[in-house]
Amino acid sequence: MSGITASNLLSYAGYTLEAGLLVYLLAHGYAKRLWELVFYLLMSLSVIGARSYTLHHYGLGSSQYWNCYWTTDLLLVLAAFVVVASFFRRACSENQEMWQFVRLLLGAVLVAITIVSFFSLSSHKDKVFSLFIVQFSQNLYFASLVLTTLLYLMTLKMEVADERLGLLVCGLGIEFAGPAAGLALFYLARGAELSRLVGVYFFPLCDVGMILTWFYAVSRVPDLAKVPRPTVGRVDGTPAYARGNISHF
Amino acid sequence: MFLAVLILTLSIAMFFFYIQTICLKILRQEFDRDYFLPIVNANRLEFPSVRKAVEEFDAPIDYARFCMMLKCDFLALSYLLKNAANESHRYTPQDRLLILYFHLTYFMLRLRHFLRFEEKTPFLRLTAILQFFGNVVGLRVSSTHFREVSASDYLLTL
Repeated sequence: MSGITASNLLSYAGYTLEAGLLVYLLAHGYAKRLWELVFYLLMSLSVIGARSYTLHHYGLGSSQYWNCYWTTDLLLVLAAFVVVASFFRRACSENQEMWQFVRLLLGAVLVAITIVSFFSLSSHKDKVFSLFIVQFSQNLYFASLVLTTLLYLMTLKMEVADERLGLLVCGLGIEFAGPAAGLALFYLARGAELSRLVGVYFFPLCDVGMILTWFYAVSRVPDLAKVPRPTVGRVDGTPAYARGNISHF
Repeated sequence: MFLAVLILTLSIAMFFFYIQTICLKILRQEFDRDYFLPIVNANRLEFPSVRKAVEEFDAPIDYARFCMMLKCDFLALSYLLKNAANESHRYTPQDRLLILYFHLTYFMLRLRHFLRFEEKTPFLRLTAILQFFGNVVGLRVSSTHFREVSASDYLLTL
């Protein structure tokens, strides 16, 4: 199987999982409780649709596709930033003072990234807007990776009991950390076979990893408010966490 | 260049940290009883005795023997995961992730042994993974109806 075919297969597996998770969330009434996941998945699927449409109509080398790709990339990174902010809010649900501080911090990060991205492009005055989008989304991407790590450390420090939130954050962490490592390797090993392999296999795998982790968190980890009390001696009474391990004949 | 190396190092570290955290969170699943005990008895698995020896006795660890015991238990349990009361005869994604985690932890154990670092933590982690596998197999078996055949009888016929 060629690299491109494998990459396409992995990408399509990711898209299918995203659509499946979205349907699962909507069908099981999670649309309100986990609105940030629904929002991110909807955005991601819309981005896939927009890119496919532009690619089909204008071709890979066209300026329309270039603009569409980077604009949708920016939208996706902004959506991920919203998800991170919303997870911060969940983590601070019992500490409003902390949330006030975090909200200020998130706003400051967004403003700082905008300013840094703008000033780093002062030498390219002809294509400021398009290059700004590229620079801004890359900076925001790395900032989101750092913020996700801070979020995870905060959940540990504040002893947040929400196991589901922990897993959702880990999924997001894989989605950010994997491609960030891949991009850095891509930069360091320019033209090498290794960098091509990273692009072909590793990026779609990280996407699949995040969706599977989210799927697991949503379907197998009980809500904090609905943690069942264990009953002894009956399989029906197994915790929701463990029930998924049963294979029904 | 320096920044790229820094980002690469940090991102790889964070990537593995998140993978490990997911595995540990899965391993923290609570079962309503010790489903692994009948599996251990029926198959004469040895990881509980390894855990007891590592946890309770302050004697030096018999590295080679314990490694062999855990590896044999892993082979038995991974076979049972795939075939015992499992209609599809396939690993679930969760099983696959934990099997990968077992291999990584085993590799870390060997590395620590080579570097003469403390070996207790990876040994305990390996036994935790095996106990989880035992619980999953036990839960599947106990939820399956075999008419008059008990779970251990069924396992002995495999």
